[in-house]
Amino acid sequence: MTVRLEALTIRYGMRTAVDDVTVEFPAGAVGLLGRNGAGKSSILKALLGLVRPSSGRMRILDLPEDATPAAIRARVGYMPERECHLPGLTGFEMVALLGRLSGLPERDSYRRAHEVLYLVGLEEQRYRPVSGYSAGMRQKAKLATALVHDPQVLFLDEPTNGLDPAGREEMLRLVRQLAGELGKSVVLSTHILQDVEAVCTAVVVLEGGKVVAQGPLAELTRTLDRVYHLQVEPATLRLPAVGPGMQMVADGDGRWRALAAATCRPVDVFALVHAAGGNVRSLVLHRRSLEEVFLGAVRGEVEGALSVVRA
Amino acid sequence: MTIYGVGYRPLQVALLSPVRRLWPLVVLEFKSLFRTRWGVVGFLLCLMPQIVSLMVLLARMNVLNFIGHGGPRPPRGMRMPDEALRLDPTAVQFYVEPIMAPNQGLTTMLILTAMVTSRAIAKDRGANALELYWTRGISPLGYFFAKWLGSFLLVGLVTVAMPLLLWLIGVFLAEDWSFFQDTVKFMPRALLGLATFSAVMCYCAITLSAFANSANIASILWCLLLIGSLAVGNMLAGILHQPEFVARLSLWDANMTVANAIAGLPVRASNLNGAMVAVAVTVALLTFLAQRRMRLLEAVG
Repeated sequence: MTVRLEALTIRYGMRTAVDDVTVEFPAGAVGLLGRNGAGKSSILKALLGLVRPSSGRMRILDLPEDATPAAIRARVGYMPERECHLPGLTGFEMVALLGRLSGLPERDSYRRAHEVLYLVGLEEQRYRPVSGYSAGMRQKAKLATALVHDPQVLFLDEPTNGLDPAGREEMLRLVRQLAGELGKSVVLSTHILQDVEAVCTAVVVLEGGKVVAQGPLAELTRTLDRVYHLQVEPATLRLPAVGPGMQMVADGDGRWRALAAATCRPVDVFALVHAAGGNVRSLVLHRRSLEEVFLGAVRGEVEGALSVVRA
Repeated sequence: MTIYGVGYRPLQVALLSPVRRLWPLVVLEFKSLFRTRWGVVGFLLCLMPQIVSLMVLLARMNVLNFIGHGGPRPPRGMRMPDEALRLDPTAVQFYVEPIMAPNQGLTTMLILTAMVTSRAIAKDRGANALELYWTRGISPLGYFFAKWLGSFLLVGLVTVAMPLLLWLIGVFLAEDWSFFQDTVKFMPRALLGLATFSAVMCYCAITLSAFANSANIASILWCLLLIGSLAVGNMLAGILHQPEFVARLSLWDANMTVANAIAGLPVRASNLNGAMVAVAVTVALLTFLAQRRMRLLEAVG
């Protein structure tokens, strides 16, 4: 467990941004999904000590619940959503300075600045002013500043904002590397579903300040009533409309869909086709996309039997 | 040294205390003027009054001789006209007036504070840098203090360190200890007055910078505050025939009156009280406005 929130509520004046949220972020890359205004950034800011929650409890790593913001920030790296840089400084100077403000001695901050800039792929541009960087380079520089003090947990707020496809892919590769090879726990706050699908192993979906779905990505995208897409031969083969625990739908030209119950196994589909006098040329289990999960979750349509917790 | 494929290795160092973390920010602010060619030119311009004072000092010490003979030094304890005191290295006015007299020091202070201090926080706000700073191990108050200290050290380089240097040069060039004996009585108070004057100016400029949205707006506001209040004070003083209005309405004059009192220069009591109130009100008002804009949520959106 990296982060645990218990009955967390955050209010800005009369407006409730986060409403009684209880959630756990496991180690690895976790997606924090939600539409704009869903409460993602508020949760990150509360975790960083920038916003004081109205009620509830938060715990990060093994730090005590009453840990000071400074103690939290020593263990956490934050990549802001907004475009930001330190005016007048080169990439190296910016990362080294922020390393020193995080508490690193001078020599270590310089060494780390070189290392993280190399890691994010800015080694050639590190002595150029950040104000002259492209959007992709600035995002990488922000990631380097989040990494400079070697945090165990990284909060990345919309890291692919404003990036072209190549830049986006590069950023996602870096996030995968951080969560995999380098063993960091990454909380990826975004509204881009493909980013989460590309790098995360678990997801928390927020809507209107509440958690509407959470769990491992593989679990969430597995359907309760499975759909098998199969192709049979001969193409003219006629299958019964109903089989044991499944319903067959003809899509034409030898293609069929088997709408099966959770207990139904692929071998049952094979047996049905054999009994009708044909062979199965291909059989594919259809998985729901994260988009389907997300839209279902925000509409309140998520099936409860899939480790999906309704808030 | 091991070479790592990804150029990244775990960090194992003891982190510095929150106070020591602020020092790089102080240094950054102190050096900010020297990062550009125009900044260096601006700084050299600010040194001009001090260079003129140095020339006068060297001439009075007979190191430079423009007219063939340096002339005898006036007898110790002799009362001299105010204009002559400004050229006498044994008088406190020689060290204080090039910094604090509006006709001599205003340009220097305006260049330094408008180029550095009044831009310090506004330029960070404009680049959204506050979000980067405050998600580190420093607090907004620590950040503000570091910015103020950095700019105060830079301004103090001209307004405090240069007069001190002039005095030390005078002490070393003097033929005997009489120069030291004549000047050591007032120099600590004079330097304290100059430091107070610079510290208050930097504080006002940096608080103004804290609530401005862009560096240029902050610079313009600062110039308007300094010159505008001076102009209004002088105008009202002339119209109403109340000379003390200047010290009460002009930030520069109010600050100068307080600093003069600290430096041991003669100041009218009524003027001093009015000036102290004016400085206190300005500082309080600017602090109130700045602290509203320095809240964490203001910075991180």
